[in-house]
Amino acid sequence: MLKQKPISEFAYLPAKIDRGYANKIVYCNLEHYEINEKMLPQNMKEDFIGGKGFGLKLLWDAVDENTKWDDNDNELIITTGPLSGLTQYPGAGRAILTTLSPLTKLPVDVNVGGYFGPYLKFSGWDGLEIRGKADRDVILFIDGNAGMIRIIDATFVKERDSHILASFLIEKFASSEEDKKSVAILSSGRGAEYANIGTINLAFYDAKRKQVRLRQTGRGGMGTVLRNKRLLAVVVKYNQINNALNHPADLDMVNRLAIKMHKTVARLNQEDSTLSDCGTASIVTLMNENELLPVNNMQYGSHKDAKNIDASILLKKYFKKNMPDGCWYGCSIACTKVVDDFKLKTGPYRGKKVSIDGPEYEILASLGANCGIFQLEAILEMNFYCDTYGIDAASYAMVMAFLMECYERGIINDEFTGDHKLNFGNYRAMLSVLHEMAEGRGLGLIAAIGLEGIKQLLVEEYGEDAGFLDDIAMVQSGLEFGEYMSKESLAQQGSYGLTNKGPQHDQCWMISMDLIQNNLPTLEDKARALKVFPQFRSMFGLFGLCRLPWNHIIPWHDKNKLQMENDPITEQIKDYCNLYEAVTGNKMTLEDMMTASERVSTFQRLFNKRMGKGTSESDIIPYRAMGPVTKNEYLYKQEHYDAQLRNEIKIDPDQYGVEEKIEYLRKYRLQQYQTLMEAVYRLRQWDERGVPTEEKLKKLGLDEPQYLAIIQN
Amino acid sequence: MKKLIVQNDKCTGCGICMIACGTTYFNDESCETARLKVRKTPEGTFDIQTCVQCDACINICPVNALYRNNDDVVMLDKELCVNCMMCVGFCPHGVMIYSEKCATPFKCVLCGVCAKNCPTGALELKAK
Repeated sequence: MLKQKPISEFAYLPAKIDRGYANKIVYCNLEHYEINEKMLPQNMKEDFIGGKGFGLKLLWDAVDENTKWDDNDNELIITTGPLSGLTQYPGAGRAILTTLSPLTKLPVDVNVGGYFGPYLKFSGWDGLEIRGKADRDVILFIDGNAGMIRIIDATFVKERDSHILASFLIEKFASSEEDKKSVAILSSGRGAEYANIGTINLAFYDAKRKQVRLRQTGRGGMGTVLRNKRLLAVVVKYNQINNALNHPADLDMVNRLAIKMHKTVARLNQEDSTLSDCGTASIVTLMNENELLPVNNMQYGSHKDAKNIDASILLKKYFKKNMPDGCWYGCSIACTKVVDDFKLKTGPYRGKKVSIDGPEYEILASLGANCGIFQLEAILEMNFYCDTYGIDAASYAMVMAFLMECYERGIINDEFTGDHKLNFGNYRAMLSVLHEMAEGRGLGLIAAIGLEGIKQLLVEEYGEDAGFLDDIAMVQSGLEFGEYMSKESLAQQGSYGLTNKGPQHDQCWMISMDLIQNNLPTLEDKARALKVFPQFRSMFGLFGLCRLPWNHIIPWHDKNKLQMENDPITEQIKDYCNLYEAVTGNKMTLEDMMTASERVSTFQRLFNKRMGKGTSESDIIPYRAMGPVTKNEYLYKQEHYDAQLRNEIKIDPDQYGVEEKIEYLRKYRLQQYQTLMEAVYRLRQWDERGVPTEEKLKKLGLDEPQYLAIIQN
Repeated sequence: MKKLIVQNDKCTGCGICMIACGTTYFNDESCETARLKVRKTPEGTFDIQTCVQCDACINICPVNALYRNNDDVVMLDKELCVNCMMCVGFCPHGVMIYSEKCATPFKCVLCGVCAKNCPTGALELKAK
């Protein structure tokens, strides 16, 4: 245990959790080293449910329209939902982190697994609000059993990178080997001190594997905010875990629903165990076969070497089977796989054997295919270093894919890159830039800005063609794109473009329904899905649950069952409502659930509007997400594009050159996207500017003057 | 080392084994808490599901609460168990039991009370 005298401390009587809620929030102001507690108002539970809802509302109250991400007023907020911490239900180990993003300047929320969220709640807190910036590196320590919170001077801690920092802190804060599993760590890495694309790792001790594991918050620059606050880590400690700590209204019902879910998962695993065996990596080949795997900065959708990064190789060479690699107790899906004993070949830990969390599909697609890299070991090495440096791998990879294309097109040269030969596929150069980013130098420092900033730099400082760069820089609202090719899927374009926090697929993922299953044939079908799914999927973040168990038990490769996704009235979804009722004692119909989710989604849209975005202008995506920008892209699917010109645009492709055909197609596809956008707005009851109407706000109970003022501006 | 020998062809479906088991541990004659299950097959015969001491529950347990004792019997350490219920859902024979009467799941520990009470010899506890 650390012996350092705390800078400040706060003793409290840990709240007994009552039907899923602690009913208290802990507030920590690092500017004045002040710690205090707030009661959770009853209407907060009714209106915002928990998790993401709490995070957004607390952040709304903390900032105003002028607050910048690195202001003292910007808070990093960690919340849980009423179902967070259930040990018996798959995917309940969730924490939701919310802050103003350095990339989008908007509120960003991420839903992440591990032990941190449950331990925070069991320590007596539904949420932790961290305001202000410390004047030195500090650790915030919550001892949930003792009822003590301390801010500790961390200048003595030399470790910065997450894999060793987390191990160091778990050793320091655990009283014994057995006690290690009682400690959960939230930290970033040295890269987040320089990069706007910093991520946060949630570390926990896996008793089964006897090792520390990391889960990443991913998108939006959370790690950057953490380190900007001079917060080295948040440590929460709690022991004596069981399935009744939430004090649910009906424990027996919770258990029975959980067993029902486990039995379903066990049965499905017998039919197809790829998700449990390989995690989401299992879809790489399917995406490649359907030309949905991003290749070379999303120019193309497949590659002959994609087989080299197929999940079967991971399974054969890197994953240990029959290990429950869940990120919290009770997750029978166990999709978070672990690569063991991986020997590093570069960087400060060269020669060391390490464990790597993942890789998931997004990692293989982003650090791999989209940068033209099909060497699995290179991807694993980058995955490890991104995590330990506290760098969001998906953003980093999209930045590098863009720089690689710029390099190959002669937009940037060796002088710009510092002699890195940034051709697609050059993983050595990519790794070098990653190490530079962690050291705050060279091209790494430029890549650290994030894609939107690099694009601006190239236009403003180097006089490059803004139009072309806008087309090929896969970024919207400041956030780099997720890893599904949306060119041929209008619904997926909407999934990326019409979300609140930028082009990721947390709220909506239509690629399979639209392109693989062809379940959304008309524009109205697509628009309706874009209304329903963000609404429905937000529920997981409110409850404090992971979404994957739901995805898993409605197998998306099963045509007949998939039909239910469009109209998500299934027994299993009803079970989520039943689970909520079993924990909280409050009845929730499917309709109630959809309304609650829509309320929070709409509130987030208002928040965006308040921060200067959140209108139709910010819903525009780069053209490469909609269609071919360059000649080579057109020729890659010439037959398909020619057919669209002939059948839908009614022009004869044989009469035109490729560049003219690209222009015709562009005009048509931009119009399609515009039409979709308008249709979605209508269904969401937003006006033509993409702003929620007063009528809608009233229906959702968001008609306080402060909210109405936002739409009237 | 012991083993529970099951001979379905001798089973008459009387359920005495389940009553004996439930009564011994929970004073419960309802069969809900019995650690073995007798099911009637569509053909009208009986199928006795008992723990075969396989590894399914040991493998799925995230906290190593399930282990083999010196007699090779799979046991649950209640101190380590976090009640995740995965062993209940993943038991291939449906004999890792959950009941409202007990915080943790429970299973056959090869005590032999079922065999002792079986009137037809369908269950027999034998040394391996």
